[in-house]
Amino acid sequence: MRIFNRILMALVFAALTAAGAFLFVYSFGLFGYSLSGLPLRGNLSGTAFYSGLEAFVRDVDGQSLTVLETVVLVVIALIGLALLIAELKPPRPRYLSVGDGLYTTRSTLEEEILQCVDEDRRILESSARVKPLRRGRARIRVEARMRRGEGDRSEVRRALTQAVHERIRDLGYPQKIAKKVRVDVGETDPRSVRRRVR
Amino acid sequence: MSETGKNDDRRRELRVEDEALRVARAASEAALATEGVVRLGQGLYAEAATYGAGEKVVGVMVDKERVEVHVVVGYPPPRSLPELAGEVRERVAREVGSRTVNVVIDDVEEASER
Repeated sequence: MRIFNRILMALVFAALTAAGAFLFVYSFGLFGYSLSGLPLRGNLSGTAFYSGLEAFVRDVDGQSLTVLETVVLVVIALIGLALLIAELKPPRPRYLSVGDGLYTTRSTLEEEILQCVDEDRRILESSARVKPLRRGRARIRVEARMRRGEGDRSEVRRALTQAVHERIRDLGYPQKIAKKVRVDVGETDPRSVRRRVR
Repeated sequence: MSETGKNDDRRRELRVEDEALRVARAASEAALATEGVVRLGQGLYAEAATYGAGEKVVGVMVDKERVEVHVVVGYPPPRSLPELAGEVRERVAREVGSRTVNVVIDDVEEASER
């Protein structure tokens, strides 16, 4: 049922994108068709909706779309496209994969990384963010702050990156988790540090 | 649907619930018996639990095909986290028959946090 729903929604969004894009392009008069010749009459004939639709089609046909109508067509096409991409894109995993059927939460690794970064005495405060990716990979971003003039930032960054890699290895996580580690080191005034000051 | 049919359906549902609870309890005991596991986790986004009539087992989610066990591990863990999770899975798998077992480490806790 879930697969059927996904296929159905993908088709609906694709149709929405195609319809929006087609009408937008059609309004420039590139095709020889006449939309107003379409058999739109039926139960709707005479209703307010029908007259509005008829006026819209007439504008598209006559290449006299108002700015608002053009914007509506573009928005319909873009919404359809965005929903189609969102529907087709495989969902991002919620947990970090550490083996077949074995997972850890993001916060588990984030806490370990913070602990490891805080072991460096030059660091006043730090934050870590782990984003699980597909195929068991992850994106790890660490931000650390040190006292101004305490040392060479690039050297500290190198040391922290190495420490994070080692901690991930020591904990037994697959090494592909540690492939995308980014460490940013900034300087700060110790008085502005909320977390702790040594 | 007749009254008898509804009653049969309800009885069937209760039997399925009982079976799920029994499996969840067995999985919970097996996971807690693993060295390094200090307690069962509660899940991240929604409560990870198996519900039955008047009872729930927190930390284990059971359905027809799989069992998901959430554990909290003590720090320092006795083995690497993947090895520990693998051991939990082995122990739980012995108790849950043909269902697939997934293990999620919800947290690593130091003794001071407990």
